[in-house]
Amino acid sequence: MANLTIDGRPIEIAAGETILSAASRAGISIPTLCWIDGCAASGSCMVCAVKVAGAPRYLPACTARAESGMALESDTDEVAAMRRKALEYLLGDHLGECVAMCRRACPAGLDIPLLMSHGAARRWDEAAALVRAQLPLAGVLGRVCHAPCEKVCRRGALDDPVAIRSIEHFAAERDVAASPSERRFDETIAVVGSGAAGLAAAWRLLQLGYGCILYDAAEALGESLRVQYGEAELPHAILAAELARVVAMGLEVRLGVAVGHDLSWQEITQPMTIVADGDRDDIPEVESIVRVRAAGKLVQQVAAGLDAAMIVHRSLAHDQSAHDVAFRSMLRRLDDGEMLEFIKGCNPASTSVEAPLSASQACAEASRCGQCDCTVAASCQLRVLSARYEARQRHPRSSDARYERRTTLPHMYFLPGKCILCGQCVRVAQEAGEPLDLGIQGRGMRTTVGGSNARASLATALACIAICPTGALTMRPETNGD
Amino acid sequence: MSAVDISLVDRAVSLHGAGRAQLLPLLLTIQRHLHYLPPAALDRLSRLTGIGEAEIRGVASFYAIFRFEPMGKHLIKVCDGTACHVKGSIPVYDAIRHHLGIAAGADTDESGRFTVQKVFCLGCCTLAPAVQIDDLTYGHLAPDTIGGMIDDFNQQAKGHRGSWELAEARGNLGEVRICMDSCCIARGCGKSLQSLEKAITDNGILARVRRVSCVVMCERAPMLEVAPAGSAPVRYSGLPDEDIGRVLRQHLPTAGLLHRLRNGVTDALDTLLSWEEREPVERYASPDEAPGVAAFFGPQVHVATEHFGASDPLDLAAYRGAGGFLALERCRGELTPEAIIEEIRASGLRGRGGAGFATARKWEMVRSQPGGLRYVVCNGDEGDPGAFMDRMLMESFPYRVIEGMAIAARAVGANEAFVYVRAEYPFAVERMREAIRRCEQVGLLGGEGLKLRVFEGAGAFVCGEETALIASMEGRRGIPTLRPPYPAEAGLHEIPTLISNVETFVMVPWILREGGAAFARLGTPQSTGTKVFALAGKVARGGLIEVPMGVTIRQIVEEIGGGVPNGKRLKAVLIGGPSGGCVPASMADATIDYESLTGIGAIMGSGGLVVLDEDDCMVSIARYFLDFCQQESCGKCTFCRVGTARMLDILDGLCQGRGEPGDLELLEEMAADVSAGSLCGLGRTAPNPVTTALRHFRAEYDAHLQGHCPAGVCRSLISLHINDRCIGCTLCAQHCPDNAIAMTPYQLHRIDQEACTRCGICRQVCPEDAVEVH
Repeated sequence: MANLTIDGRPIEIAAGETILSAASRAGISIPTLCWIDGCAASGSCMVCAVKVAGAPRYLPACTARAESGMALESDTDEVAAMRRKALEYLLGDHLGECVAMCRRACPAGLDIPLLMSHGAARRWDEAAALVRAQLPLAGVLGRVCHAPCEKVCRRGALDDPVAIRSIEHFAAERDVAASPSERRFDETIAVVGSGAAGLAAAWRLLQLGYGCILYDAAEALGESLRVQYGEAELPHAILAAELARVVAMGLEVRLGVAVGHDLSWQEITQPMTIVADGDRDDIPEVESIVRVRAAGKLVQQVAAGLDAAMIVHRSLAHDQSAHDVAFRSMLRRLDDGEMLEFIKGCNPASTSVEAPLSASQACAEASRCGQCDCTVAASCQLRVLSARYEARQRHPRSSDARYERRTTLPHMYFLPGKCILCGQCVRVAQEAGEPLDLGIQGRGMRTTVGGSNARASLATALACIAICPTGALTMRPETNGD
Repeated sequence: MSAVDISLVDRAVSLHGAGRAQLLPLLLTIQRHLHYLPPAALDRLSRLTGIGEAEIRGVASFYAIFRFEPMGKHLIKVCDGTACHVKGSIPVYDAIRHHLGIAAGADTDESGRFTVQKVFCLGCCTLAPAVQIDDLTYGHLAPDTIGGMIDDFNQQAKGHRGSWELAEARGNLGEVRICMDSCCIARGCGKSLQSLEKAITDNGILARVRRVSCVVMCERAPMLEVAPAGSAPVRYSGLPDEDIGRVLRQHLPTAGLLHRLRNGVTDALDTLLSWEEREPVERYASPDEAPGVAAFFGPQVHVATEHFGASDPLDLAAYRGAGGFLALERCRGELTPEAIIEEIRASGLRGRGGAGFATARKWEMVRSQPGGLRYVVCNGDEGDPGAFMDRMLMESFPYRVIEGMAIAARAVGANEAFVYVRAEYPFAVERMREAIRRCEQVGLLGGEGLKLRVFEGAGAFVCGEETALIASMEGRRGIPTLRPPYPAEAGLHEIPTLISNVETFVMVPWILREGGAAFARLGTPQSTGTKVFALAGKVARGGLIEVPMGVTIRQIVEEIGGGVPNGKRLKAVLIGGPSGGCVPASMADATIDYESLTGIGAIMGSGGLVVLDEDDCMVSIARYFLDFCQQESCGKCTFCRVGTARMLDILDGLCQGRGEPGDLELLEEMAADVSAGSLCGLGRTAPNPVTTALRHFRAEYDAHLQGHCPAGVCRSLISLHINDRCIGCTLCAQHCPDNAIAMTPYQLHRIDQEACTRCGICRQVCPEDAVEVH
């Protein structure tokens, strides 16, 4: 029986199989990027590198044939370093951004690129559902948020930033009925203070499925907001409607109750309490109390409240969701020429609108967004592995690596800056037997995937997009609605 | 643009066939006729072959020879091979662009007459720097001779270019032999032949003129050998035309007018000519007696280049007369395939392509495969910019190549064989084709049923790697694949295939004729026999040399090469081209054999040997090689594709004064990564020139970090100044492409540092050596 060893472990091998297949049968996990199960391997990325013991030589496990007598290393610092370096070389040329700058700038974490793509496709119901699902007091924020997102919008470097807040405003204006949240947990959490932070914390808790009681010494809900903004800035009717939405989710409101005076802390801190009530100095230092030191702009207070709710959620060990991948690829500043490339297919006009927008204005404005976000940020293997191997974008990019967005393929865009040249899309297109006609072209650093004569069904295009491991192929915005 | 004649594509397909394996020949045909690949032609080709257009483009864009844009009426190829590079090909390239007024970013002049391209190696290293315009080659160019070259070409293009073949006269006559290999022709043998013809006619000399194979002293071309009947030949080099008649009369009888025939074209060789005649080396002297020639041939042993210069390379009778095809006959008669392999084993022959794998073992591997089919492929894809051994061997000894392949085919049991020839070697292609045709004509191959064909490459260094070569023969992009499986198990079309280098095959007939033991007596125990090198660069006598393994680098440079000219000091020798390394002068006593060279960080490689002197910058040379590897990388593996580019960025920075602390360490780290993480030989060896240069010339790298280029090469780090030796001749001002020197006759000239791009042309044209580098 033929054998090889990986990290000293003897593994039986079948004739003609690859190192990867032998390893995975033995339960040894080797990371892969350009290799896709069930597809012909290209063996190009070298992320699956294993080391030949005793030699300064690495083999791609996905394509190297398992040979009897091989001694290989997979789980050593040296091999991990090699995999990290392979990732870093790929990242060095990666002209892509895992998370759009606007989204990173938004303290409340609104998925702005998604909102824009809904808007551009006039999917206003989805747009409204999105802002309602991600933002408390969406209608308030749409009017008075200081919009840090717009300050970092890449489009601003070319002409004007996309009027994100106005679009959010338009979406939030849409009549979506507020409904009680589904109760998923037994715990009822107390929140003290009905300012922006307290309301946001309560909103998030209810959304997560907790019960929530909101205490405020004032006689009216959201009194501080009413005081802070004038009628012209934030019509009281709007604020009232937004507050009513939170209440409608199932919030229990106790007004005119000063916790610490009218009610002892002990009475409400079961199991946990969030205090978002200004600079009070009479709050007990106990683990069950999460204190929100809400300061700064409205949206920052909202974010602080949302964060506090998440702290409670995690403390109660109910958090089952996956954490955000730590690695984030950053896109360098694009020059004007690259920006024109970047917004190819977008509305080229500069902005001239002011809120409130009409439906057509909102759509036109949302169409100006270049969609900086990566469409596969959550599933991208380059990102996942970069996080695992602690890869950094440390290599400076070549100055001649220009941002490109190719629009010659049917149904999709091709972003060469994200392509790792695995050739899987080429293979899928060939196997589909359709004249999608993709091919790897050129040589050296100029190697790229090209298509000159592309004609393909939506199904093949979708299959190509689906197989792409890094989001280099993305659906055209107009395809989304198909 | 007028409409493209697409019917050509249909004709090409009916000629070559529509199979995938015909894709490269088809594309070459289209390229040669239309000078580019128009979209309409690709579309038609796609329809006729059923291969997607993007895929066809993918294949075509892999090879340097194909263009997708129309080009000018004439193509100027500026050789930027290593030898040309160190002798100033870039200033020549810049000067041509300047002369033709080609705008930045464009490659064609406004009138659409000329397109200028840099190419990696025309294989005329002894003519460095060399330029090819269409099929005319010009050598020893300098920025100030570009105008003359273009004028000359225009005249040539206008005028009638006759073609001639000198036929034999009757009777027992003396001979005048003239070498007709690419570099001799480029050096002026075409012209000399013309003068020779005239001299013979004018003087009524009774002699026959023979085109012979390379006389291997390329540096001294054109070489003329006068061989009176019955006495020893006398060699002349650099003979001025007006003296030819007198020399001939000295040696040969005259008897009225020679009966001379001028018939149709059999060879286009005469269309090459050199622009610049070099200084005659030893005018009138009989060079055989000159010490230089004795030294040049002294340490050499001629196995592969046996009988060089003695006969017309295509003269089959002469080849057979000198023992040619005896070995093959023996192999077909008394020797079994096993016995042939045994003889090769006894010779200790190792692959001459670079890696030095034992030839007998390879043959045995192919022979032992199951199934009946086998292929033999001769790898003539000489990609090392700075090497021309394979070209010379194929041009000068085509029958040896054929015989070696036929013996190999017999030994491994193959009945189909291919000679893969680099596209840049049109004469080698022609010679091999013609030699095969002549062999077939007399049944030399037919008896055994061996089908031998020439396959033309299309310009890709990586195709020298055997798996990439196979991919390219199958009509695909020349991407190497991971071994195993080896081509010996599953090669061309998955059939067991023996792939060896040209030189390896050329050694085979000698071994079978003289015996393996005789071969093993030459060289060292581990590296037996001889090795052919292309000696070029900063050396007094360059050319094709053949030495027994075990001689020292110093012997080659000093004795054979005559040392570094112009009183300069030897700095380093580049061995093995872009995959090899630099050997510093201090290590010149290292011997030439596989183990010794690997030991000092170089490799045997295919046999390019470029000598550098103190005027060469080791950072710039490393940058040059890395740039080459980066452009020639197939683009598959991350480490090779991206790693070499990142390394190049750093070297660019060093050469441009943008170096940063830590750069050298990062460079070393990346070199190790690329070496360890690449799959094929190209990637694994690509960092070698950088690694060895860094090891042996660290101080020079440190100086670049400080913004200083000790050799005065890196343009961004130097400035040019005119000292008071200036006599005010205005030559510099006339030639400055940047108008940085004002014309001030009879006065000291000054260089405007703002406008100066430090191309160094002024330095080259100054008759007084008044331009200094600071």
